[in-house]
Formats: sequence, C-alpha cells, structure tokens
Amino acid sequence: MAVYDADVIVVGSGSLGSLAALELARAGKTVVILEAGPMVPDWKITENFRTSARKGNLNAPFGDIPYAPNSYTPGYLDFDADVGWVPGTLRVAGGTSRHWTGVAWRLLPEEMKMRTQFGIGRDWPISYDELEPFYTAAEYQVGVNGADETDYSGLNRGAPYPPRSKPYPLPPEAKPYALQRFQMRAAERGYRVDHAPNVRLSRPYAGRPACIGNNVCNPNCPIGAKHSGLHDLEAAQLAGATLKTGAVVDKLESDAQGRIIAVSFLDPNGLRSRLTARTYVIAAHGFETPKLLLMNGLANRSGMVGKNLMMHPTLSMGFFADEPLWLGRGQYLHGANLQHRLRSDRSKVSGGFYQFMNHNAAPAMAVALFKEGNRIGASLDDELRRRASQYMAIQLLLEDLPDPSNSMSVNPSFRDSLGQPGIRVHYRLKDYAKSALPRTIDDYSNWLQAMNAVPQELPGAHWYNQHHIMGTVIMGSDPSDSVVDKDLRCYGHDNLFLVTTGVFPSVSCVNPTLTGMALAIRAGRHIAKEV
Amino acid sequence: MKQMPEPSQPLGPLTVTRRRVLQALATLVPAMGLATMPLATHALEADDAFLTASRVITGNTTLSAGIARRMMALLVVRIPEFAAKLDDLLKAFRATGGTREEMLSALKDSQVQFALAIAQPWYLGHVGTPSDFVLKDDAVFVTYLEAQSWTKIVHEVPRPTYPGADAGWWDVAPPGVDAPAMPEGIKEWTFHPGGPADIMAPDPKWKAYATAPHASIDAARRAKPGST
Repeated sequence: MAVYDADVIVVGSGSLGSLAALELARAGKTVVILEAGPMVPDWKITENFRTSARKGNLNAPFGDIPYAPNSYTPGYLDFDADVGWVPGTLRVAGGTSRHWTGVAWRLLPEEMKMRTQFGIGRDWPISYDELEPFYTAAEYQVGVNGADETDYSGLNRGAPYPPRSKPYPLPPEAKPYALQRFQMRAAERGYRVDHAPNVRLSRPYAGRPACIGNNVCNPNCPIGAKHSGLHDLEAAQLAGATLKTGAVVDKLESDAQGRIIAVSFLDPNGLRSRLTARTYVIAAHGFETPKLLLMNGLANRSGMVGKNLMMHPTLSMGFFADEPLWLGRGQYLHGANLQHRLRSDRSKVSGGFYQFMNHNAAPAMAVALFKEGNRIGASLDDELRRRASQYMAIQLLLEDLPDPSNSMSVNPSFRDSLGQPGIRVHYRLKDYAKSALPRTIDDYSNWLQAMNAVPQELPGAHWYNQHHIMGTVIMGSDPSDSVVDKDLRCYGHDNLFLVTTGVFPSVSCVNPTLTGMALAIRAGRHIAKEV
Repeated sequence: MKQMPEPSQPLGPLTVTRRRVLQALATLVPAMGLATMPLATHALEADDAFLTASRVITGNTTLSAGIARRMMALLVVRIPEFAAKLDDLLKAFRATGGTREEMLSALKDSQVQFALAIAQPWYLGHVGTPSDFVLKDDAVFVTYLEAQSWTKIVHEVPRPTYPGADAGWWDVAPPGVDAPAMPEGIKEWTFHPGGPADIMAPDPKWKAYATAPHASIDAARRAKPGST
C-alpha cells in the first residue's frame, strides 16, 4: 500500500485554499498547505501602510519578495489591456484576500444560467440551489453582515432575494451620514440605496472585534474586524492542517493515467523538495493556478487553461455636492444601488451595480490641487476642505462574459530569483460592457441634478476593472470547452482539483470572493468524502 | 506648542502665533549667507529655515523639526538651487511680515511655485510620485501623522487607522454640519424615502452639463445650471 506525505496537499494558503483545507482537516484528513510567500502578521501590514508613500498601492505593504514576486513586482505581470487597473494579487500567507475590501455578495440564480436565461455566456454546471448551503456555510464561517429583507436583484419586488436557508449571521453595520444624504436626494430621481453585505463586523464575532471605522479596509484592517484569508488559514491550522511557507511549487508530477503523484517545490534558496498525497488542490488564485498548469502541460485538453479571463469592467465617477458629506467616516464601502443588475435587457447590456465609495477624500483632493497649482495658504486649505467635504465617489461594476481571446499566459521574459517565469495578460473590453455606458451617463446626470453637484469625473473617460480574476480555469459540463467539472475536478486528472475564482463560468457584476468561498467549502467537503 | 488657528480662519494681527512666526523669522541666518554657503556646514541654520518656511506655508506651527529635516534632505536633491530658493523665500517672508496670508500673497510667481513644492510633501506625506500598480517609483515616505491633507480635515474625518471611537459612530452628522431634517428611519438600511418607482430620464440641461468639457473645477462651478 502506498504511503503518502498527506491525504491532501493544498497549493496556496489564501482564503479559498484555507477553507478547503479547513473542511478537510475537520473531516480528519491530513492536510499540508504549501504557500510560496512568507508569513507576515497583520500588525506589520498596518505599520507598513502607515509608513508607505504608496498608500493607493494595495500590494506595497506586503513588499516585493524576490522568490515569490506578486503582480506589482516590476516586469512580473505583462499587462496588455484596455482597462486601467492592474489586478493586485499577492503571494503571502493568507493570499490575496489579505487585501480585499470585504464585500460579500451572492450570485443570483439567474446569473448562474446566463445561456439558458439570456442566451449569452455560459451556464454553471451546478445550480444556485445546490450552492446555497455552502454560501450559508461561508457566511457563518467568515462573518457576514447583511440585510435579510433586501431584494438583491435590484428589482425591488418586496421580498428578499436570492433565497437563503438561514438569515445573515450579523446585522448590517451603521449607515454613514454621507450615504443618508445621498439616499434622500437621489430618491427624488428614482434611485434606491441598499446595503452591500460584507465581512467588516457589525458586532464581535468568532473572536474578532466589531469594526470601529478605521477607514483602511484595504490593504488591511488594523484590528482584524474585517475578515482576511489569514483568519481562514489560522482556522485550518487550528483544525490540524500543516502550513509550509516559502514553498514555491513549480512542478506537478503525473502518471500515465493523468493522476498527480507528487508536487515539487523550491525553497527561497532554491533547494528542491517533493511531497506526495492522495489528492491535490491548487488554490493559487486566478493567475497562478493556470500558470502552474501551463508550466506543467496539465488539464488543458480543452485549450481553455488561461482563457476566458474576466475582471469586472468598471466605470468610475465623482462629483461635488452642494452640501458637506465628508466621505471617510466609517468603512471603505457600505452601500450599493442594484437597479441595473437584473434588467430585462441583460442579454444585450451588461448587468451592473453601483458601489458608493467612502474613502477619506483629502489626499486625492490635495493631489489634484497641487496639480492645478494655483492656490496656496488659506485658499488652498479652504478649497481642500470644500472638495473633501462635498466629494462623492461611485463605481459601476459590470458583468464580463467569457471570451477565450481574453487570456493570461506564462511570461518567459521575466524570471524571478528562482528562475520562475512571470505572467502575461491580454484583455480587451467587449461591447457587452461598453453598452452600459449610455445609461451610466444618464445616471450620473441624474445624480448631479439630485445633489445640485459639480462634475469631477465623468464616467467613460477611462475604463477600469476590478482586482477580480475569474474564468481562467473555467468550469463546465463539457470537457471539450472546460477545465474543471462541477466538483472542481480537472478533466483528465482524477485527483487534481482547482479551488479558485478562476473556475467561474459566469461572473455576474458582483464581487466574487464569497462565491469562491462557497465553492471552496463545497470542494473541501466533497474531496473529504473521496480521500 | 500652541496650535495655529484653523487654516480657514484669518490669522489675527497680534496672535501668539504671528509673534512666534515673526520671532522665528528674525533669527534666521542672513539670506545671502545661506545661499552661498554649503548646506552641510550650516545644517542647523538650514533646518531652522526650512522648518520656519514650512510652518508659514502650511499654517501649522506644530510641524516637527525631525520630520522637517528628513523632508528637506529629500527635497534638496530633487529641487535645483534649493538653498538659494529657500533663502529667497525667507527673505520675502521677512520683508513682508504680517500674517501667513500677507506673507504668502506677496510672493512672486516663482516663489509661489517653490513654496508649493515645499507644501506638497507636507500635505501628502511623501515626495515623488507613487505608483498604484508597480512596486517601483521615485516616491519616498516622509510622514504619516503630520500629513497635512488629513490634518486639515481631522475634526470632521479621523485620519485612517485608529479613530478612537466605538463601532457605528459614523451614522451621525459630522461636527459642524447643520444636517437637514431627515425621516427617522433614514439610518435603517431597509428604509426608502419614496419618490419615483424607477429611474427617471435625465433632464437634458443636466445631461448637457454633465457631459460638457469643463476646463477646471472652478469653470464647472460657474457653468452649473442655475448659477449666476
């Protein structure tokens, strides 16, 4: 009988990998988690943020690790895209959700069957009803604030939607004054403001304190009120999983039947080790997971590894109201407008939702004023206070459709300190997202009128994207166009599972992390039954 | 040290702050001397001069000498003829005297540009231009707690990290804001104020305003519908 180093090896210690590991460890399986990056405690990230010149750079407080470069390491990510924000991915214990904003949406049932419902995109091979218990498990694991009565379709039909088997574990947090004022005035033009469910605790939960409005949800909550992947990693370790940091996996060995027989990895000094397990989980997020598969020529009979990259096209807008709102009091983001999420024209126009940003506006206003360069002294101070007090910032997140021409691949022109390659991205905005611009400008015009406001940023001058990486190891029921099946098992490799938002066949317009967590818990429980 | 009056308020002609600024200016090394001598041999004098200038420019008399030293060391290598320009600026301040506003408003354009080059790192807390997407740029951190962009609004919005308050404090009107009357339920997330059932078509006048090119924020303010 074969002897293994572990029942399951999980590559990647982010939230999704750790939640899968947690489920496996709870089921009594031996689990080894291999993490390329180092362990960096939260307090160090907060301190690094405070002493950084790059406060808008999400990866900066985590540093540039020579043996585990991240997406902002110079040259590592060759980003050929017509959208403006480079996704910030991390290689560190706890993964990229060390710096997520913490918005925890569910997909709608309709959004998981886009082909059936709207004739576009792809259907998931599982239904919302099948995923729902795992959404609930994820919400209770990480602590989600939510408004149970809300119709999150945006259609405002007077009943909660989508269906849920249990109420949210925590009530919503306090609503900021700025959003109260916006809500009152925008309602006159037909707009609603709803709560955006999130993991910034409204009450103490699972050993974490309630949020006190540090207003630095990114890159890191200074008091741990916001969930991060580090919490899931710690839970997995407490349940018995073993973590090894500085383990840069570059080789997956397979046998003639396609079964994975070992992982091979380098330590920061280049010393190679090898571990075996019955089953292997790659949970290295949406870039590193397909990169590892491509480097090893695995799971790619469909040719879809690295294809179908989706990143939530985004429009950004801002204005100055005629009254003081004072953004920055509270958390980074509390409220949303969902009225364009599930419109009847979804087959032609991307579904979208607005998120009302709540960052302290003063630094950005100061940058603009120094660029203008025509104020100094009290004039500068007065204008800074006027703009910071009256500013309102809004982002529209839009649905992306899977398209193989949008892709990531291995970038051999970059080599890190261990000789490992980088990542290349090619992405072009599609008409589906662009078609949402006219009504976004209408909304912006309405909001200017409602707030008697002065324009600061017109949506559409630039297109942006989110730090959401999806589709690159796409899930489906047809092995000829999919990388993994409904259980996240790779086609052609019985004991290889991919736990990442990269498996999403459709992405809605909402932040993907909670859905990824639900999939991770589902995969962990499924694998535990097999091993 | 006593805090200067709020920047949005005029500096009184006989305030302690003004007297303190004038005293500091009076003790400066002779302007010509500072410009012609190497900074290394007059580091203390240069430090004092930079701190004094910084306090006038920012309107904040509590700026720290240590932060000022670090900032000046970063600016000296980034701004050509820094010492001469600093001398020139201080000479102008001394010649004008009076309040912060009187000293600043009497500056020539070139002196204003130099003063803004000193102001910028004080307001932003760093020198250079940080990149949001690459871990390599010319930006260098200077100060967090003394970054003036945050300080200027700190009574209304706490500096990010550690606001010193309990959960949920942010649902009330900020200090100094005369909040319009709102329905009692507005703090509830399930509350909706009413109004049209769905989104209205935009008013053409406001849509034209929203989409028009405006040369500046000031120009956009002047162009706002209903503005006179």
